[in-house]
Amino acid sequence: MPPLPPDPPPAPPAPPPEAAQPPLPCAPAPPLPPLPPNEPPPPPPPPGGEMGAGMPGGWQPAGTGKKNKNKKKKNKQQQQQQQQQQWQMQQQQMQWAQQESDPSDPYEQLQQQAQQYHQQQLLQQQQWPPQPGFHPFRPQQRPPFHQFRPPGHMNMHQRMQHHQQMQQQQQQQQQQQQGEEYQQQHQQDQEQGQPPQHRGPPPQQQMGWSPHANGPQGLRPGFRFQPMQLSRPRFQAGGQLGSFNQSVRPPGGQPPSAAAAPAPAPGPDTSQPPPQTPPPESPGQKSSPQALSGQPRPPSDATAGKPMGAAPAGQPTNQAAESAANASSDWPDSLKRYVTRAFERAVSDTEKNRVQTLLREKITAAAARGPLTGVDWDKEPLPGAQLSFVERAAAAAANQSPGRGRGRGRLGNQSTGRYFRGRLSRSRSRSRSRSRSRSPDSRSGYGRSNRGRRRRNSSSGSSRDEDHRNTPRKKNNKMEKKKGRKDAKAPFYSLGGPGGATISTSEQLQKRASRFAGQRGDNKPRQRLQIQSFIQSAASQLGEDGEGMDWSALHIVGTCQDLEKRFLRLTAAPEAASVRPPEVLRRSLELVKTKWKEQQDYHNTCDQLKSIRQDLTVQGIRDEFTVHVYETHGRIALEKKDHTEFNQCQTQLKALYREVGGSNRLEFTAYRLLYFIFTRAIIDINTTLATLTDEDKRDPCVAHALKVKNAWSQGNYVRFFRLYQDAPKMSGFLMDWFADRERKSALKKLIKTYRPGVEVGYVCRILACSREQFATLTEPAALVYSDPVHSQLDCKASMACLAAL
Amino acid sequence: MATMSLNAYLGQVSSAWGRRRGPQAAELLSLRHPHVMSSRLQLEHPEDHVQDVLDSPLDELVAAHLRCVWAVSNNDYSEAHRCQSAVVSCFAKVFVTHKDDNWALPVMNTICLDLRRVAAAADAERTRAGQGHPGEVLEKAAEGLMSCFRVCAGDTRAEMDETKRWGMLNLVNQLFKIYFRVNKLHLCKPLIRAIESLPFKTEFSLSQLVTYRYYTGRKAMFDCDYKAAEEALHFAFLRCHKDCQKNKRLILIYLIPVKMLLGHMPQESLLVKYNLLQFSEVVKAVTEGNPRRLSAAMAAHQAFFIKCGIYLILEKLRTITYRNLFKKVFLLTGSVQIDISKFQAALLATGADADIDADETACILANLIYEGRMKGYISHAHQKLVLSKKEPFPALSAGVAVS
Repeated sequence: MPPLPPDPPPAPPAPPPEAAQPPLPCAPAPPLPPLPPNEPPPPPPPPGGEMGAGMPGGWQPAGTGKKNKNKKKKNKQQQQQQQQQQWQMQQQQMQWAQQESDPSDPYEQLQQQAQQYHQQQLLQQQQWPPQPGFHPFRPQQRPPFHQFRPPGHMNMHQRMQHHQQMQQQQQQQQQQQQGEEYQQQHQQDQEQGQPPQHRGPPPQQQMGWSPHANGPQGLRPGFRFQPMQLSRPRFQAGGQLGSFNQSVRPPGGQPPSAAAAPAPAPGPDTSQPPPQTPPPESPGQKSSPQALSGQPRPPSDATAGKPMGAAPAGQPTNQAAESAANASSDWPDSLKRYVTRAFERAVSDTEKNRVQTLLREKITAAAARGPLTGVDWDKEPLPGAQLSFVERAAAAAANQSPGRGRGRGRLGNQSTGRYFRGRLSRSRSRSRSRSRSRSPDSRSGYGRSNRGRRRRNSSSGSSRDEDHRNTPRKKNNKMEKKKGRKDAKAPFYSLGGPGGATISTSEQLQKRASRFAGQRGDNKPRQRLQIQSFIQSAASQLGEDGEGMDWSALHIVGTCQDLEKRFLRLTAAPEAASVRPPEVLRRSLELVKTKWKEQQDYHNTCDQLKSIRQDLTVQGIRDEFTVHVYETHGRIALEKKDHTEFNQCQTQLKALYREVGGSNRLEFTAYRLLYFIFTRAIIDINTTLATLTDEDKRDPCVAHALKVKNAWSQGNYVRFFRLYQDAPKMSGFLMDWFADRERKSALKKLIKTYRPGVEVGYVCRILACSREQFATLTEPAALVYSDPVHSQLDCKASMACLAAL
Repeated sequence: MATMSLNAYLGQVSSAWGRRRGPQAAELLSLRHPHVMSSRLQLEHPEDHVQDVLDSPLDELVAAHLRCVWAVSNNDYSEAHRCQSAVVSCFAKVFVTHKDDNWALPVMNTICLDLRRVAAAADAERTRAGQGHPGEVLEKAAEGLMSCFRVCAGDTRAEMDETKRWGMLNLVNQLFKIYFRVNKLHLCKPLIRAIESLPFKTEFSLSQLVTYRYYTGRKAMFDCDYKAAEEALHFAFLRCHKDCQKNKRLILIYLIPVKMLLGHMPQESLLVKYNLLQFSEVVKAVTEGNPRRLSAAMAAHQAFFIKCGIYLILEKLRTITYRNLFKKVFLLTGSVQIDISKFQAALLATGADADIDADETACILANLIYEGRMKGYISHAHQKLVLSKKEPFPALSAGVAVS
């Protein structure tokens, strides 16, 4: 078998074109978010779904009667929100349409791509809930989706409820934060993302996400998250989501021209006069009221609270956008080439994300040190090349879903035990699955606005997951609500605050990675157990020992002193008191041999020998004495034509000779060969032949067996029975087993070929049997004899009874 | 692909599986696909990551696969075998729930093939380390394959185009490979019966059919059913793709002896083309009826013949050699009544064994007559062979090779 794995593929397959080159957003056609690579074209969009559509009839959630009561009311609310949103969208589009950018820069293209996607998402949210008959989860020709849906899956109504909850919570938290300082768990976030007060406008504001652009009542944060949950169906990655995206394009409305929108993240970062070195943690940040009070936060709350302390009402969008556009157009050519090279290296979306983060980091740092032209970009190592695996994983993880990274950090500090561990990975999971399904969005480093939504979403997802993992949720839920009410009045524009942080330095990355690693360690045992045990059970199903139990694992030393012991098939681990040690077994074997010589009672002898063999096996004794026991039993079985016992012995002996050797190896090899002739196992004979050396073949027993084999395979009965008559050692006993069979076949040949007849005396001589044996052999056939004393066989007349032989 | 991230991978798996893209999913679960080269997928404990993204029972399958990728990358084939067994048994559990649907057959074929290959590697590993007896792991792999086979064979109610029984032949071929390797040919019988009873047994893909016929032909040969063996192997040889020279050679190794036993000698050019000159001397010895030359040729290439498992089959060619020799005797004497001593003299002259006596010569003659290679009878009283006047030596190819 060729070794696994195969040779590395000559070259990684080239990324699909849409991944390598994001579509130019400045085209007049409405820029759709690029589909993830390798996805088939999305199904056609459902018929014009403007927002505000009523609840589709087919969406009755099963078994949630209680929640249904509030359905209509909530619907109404949603509709209002949506209408507002639409209005805002139109505003945004107008804004975007005024802006321009140069699409030739790959870096910027990416930015634009990301931005388009955000716009799409905006539209998508407006479109919620979808039209009747539109089922985002079940496009076409799918098995019923519930097959894939985890038990804790929320239907739409649940989700809506949930989001309203979340809205409340967020508001409450924001309110809380206004007066209070961050709790300790926010440290990390604040290290990475600077509070808006210290910095330029958070990028999201450039995208029209800021409350400034939208109006304070505009996009309710909770509401935005709804489409995110669409990614819930785990088995529907990009394709379906792509279709959903398409479906939400406003039918008549002007397509959002993302071309104009500058890339938020890298642009502003590079252009920001103060480099992105985070300000030292202010002592106040470490002491949030919650941390001080030691009040355990319900995990989903923790994540939900992330957007707290967010951006203030930002600066005009245009301004930031312009600065971003300026920034990248200032770049020297070498830097542009460098960026292109870096992106060329990245194959998958996640890799691109990572490269992007690193690039941004790098360029920012370089800009901080001096003019960008001062760096020899052609010689600069490409980002990501020198990262270790853990770092990469962390970078990729952080990159894909900022919410995840933050959630982890925070929770890691809390370390309130199992619950958190469980939900930690949950929260990661949400963003993971999503990051695939909406790969364009995963370049979210650009839009901080994403973060709020994401995080929020991840928290909701996590609590959902917990549900179906059977973790006690009720209590936490309550706490969530309680907290939510407390924070209820927070202004919502805090969205892009520290939550919008990006990982800016590699130290931080490393820190995060190490924390991540530690947590993973904590995480493992509970989760792993399942699959690990599953693998193990699958393996043990196959069994380690071909014959029932694996004795090698439980060797014992026996204490039993009985010379004779009845053989009983073991069904459980043996007890030391019932097993005889080797010294006793030696004496026992002598006794068995003497008895055998005296009484020739095979049944009893076999029983005793088997129990000796068992005791040896149980104690794991494999030495000359074991060989001797098996040989003894083999010989006795040979003599008494006990095929099964002989086969067991010869199989064991074969292994024993290989392990410990033995002087009778060739003798028993010959017996084995003869045994295979008896069983007519051509292939086994062949295998045995393959193991014989020339020297082996000179051994009298083996040489004899080989001759027997030749005679037998050629049907040369004359030679066969001559060999039978001078068989060495115990070979004759073995040949006895099939001598009659060969006699019969020889007799058939004789009767068929000799005319008119043949002497019985001759036949008996040829077939090496007595007249009596011949008589018993031919008894069933009723052969015809040409004389009354049965000395001459009439072959022609006997032809009729050949079949009876 | 070779640097694929875990998320991208899991997303693709989830997508392919969710949209029932059999070939795509099969690639992603294969051990021979570039994704196994990604160090980010070689995970010792992928469980929680996978569980996060995928749902049960697919998560178990994929987690086991990733662990297997990890094990293979560490050259730990025993562990890889355990993981791949988990993949297969998990798949069997999932597959049985796919009612009236067989889109996952490519996945099954891929993971079963990988299971066998991993098991073979694990077996070699264990044998090298001196643990267990050879073939042990392969037999366990066969059990895993059988679990899939039962799922497929049991799917009798589905429509023709969506029945899982289309996967049977592939599994049977995998099992054949294992059983032939561990010398448990008797286990092939129920498999052959299952395939032969399929109404669409000839409609499988040609490549599968060629493999199937190759193994059934070999099996028939070992069962001494040379006619069936010739038929199956001939089909395999003719239909095997012309570029698969190696496979064609493998088929010929068994087809040539069978054909020779049935009286068709291979041309020298064929032996040259497929680098099978080991047979060349044998063919010449048999054709000219020279037992000594045959013995020499057999001894010269004994290792090769034993390795291929055809040594004992070739020994049966001795009968044909004797027949050709005796035909010469018959032509020389020009009579239909020939003393057995003349045959004995011929045997001694061409030197098989020095101690051949009249009885043994008579025995050889009896065998030839019994097998229908000669027509006539032996008169024991006169120690003569009486040949039939009409066609005393029937053409070998027409001969009824009773064995």
